[in-house]
Amino acid sequence: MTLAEMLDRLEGGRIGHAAAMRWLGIDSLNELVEIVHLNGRQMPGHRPMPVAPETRALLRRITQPLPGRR
Amino acid sequence: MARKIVDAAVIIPDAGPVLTLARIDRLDLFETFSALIHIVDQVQYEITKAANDPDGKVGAWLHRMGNRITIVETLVGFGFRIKLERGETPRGGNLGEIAVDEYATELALRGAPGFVPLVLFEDPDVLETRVARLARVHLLNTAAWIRALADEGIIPDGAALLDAINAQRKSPLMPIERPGRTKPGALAMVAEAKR
Repeated sequence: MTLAEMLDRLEGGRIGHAAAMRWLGIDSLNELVEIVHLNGRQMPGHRPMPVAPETRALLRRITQPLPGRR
Repeated sequence: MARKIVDAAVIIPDAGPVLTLARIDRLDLFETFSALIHIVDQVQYEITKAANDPDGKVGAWLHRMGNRITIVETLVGFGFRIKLERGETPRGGNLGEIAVDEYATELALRGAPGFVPLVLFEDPDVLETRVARLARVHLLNTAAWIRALADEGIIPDGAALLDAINAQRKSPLMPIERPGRTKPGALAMVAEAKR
């Protein structure tokens, strides 16, 4: 099982916290949450940690669609 | 006609974002930036050295981006190159970080007053450096940036990209990303100018 598969299963609630922590070789729930978030995924049932509105506003101002996808 | 001008630039202070996207062949995501991208010379060295760019993808990308990327010369990077040219083998170590600190100091002391830096990083050590404490700074790691691009409708496939990145990771015990951090008050970044 790859990290991506593990995160997908955890996020989808198909494996629990304990199984994920065993897979990662960690014993701290805080560390699990950090790893999940660091990799852009969510703990099951959690809402995405939003990028701050100010940063999104900046991104909108300095971002354009990829060429060919306009 | 009044036109909004954003005095903003993207600063990439560590090799992580570039190497991560190179591994999944999505360096084109940097083309979504309409603002200049700043990379210090020492980080340029790190992302293009053979060990990190064995097939020349990053070098070709830098060439392709042309003047959309500004390579910032630093004394740290200059000294490193001089040593290389002398045939010495200086330790790269944390020189990238020191070079970014040098650049951040320059920005803090002599940067434009309304300048808004968006720091796109992966190495959590960046959070402890001066570039992370610049006025009006916004900090995003690669994952948060990709998610924000998808949320804004700039790219359609954010989750798939993150999965592709995760699938390439060899060791989840070495996290090199942190959730994006930002600081308030950044909306003061827009300057009005007459054209």
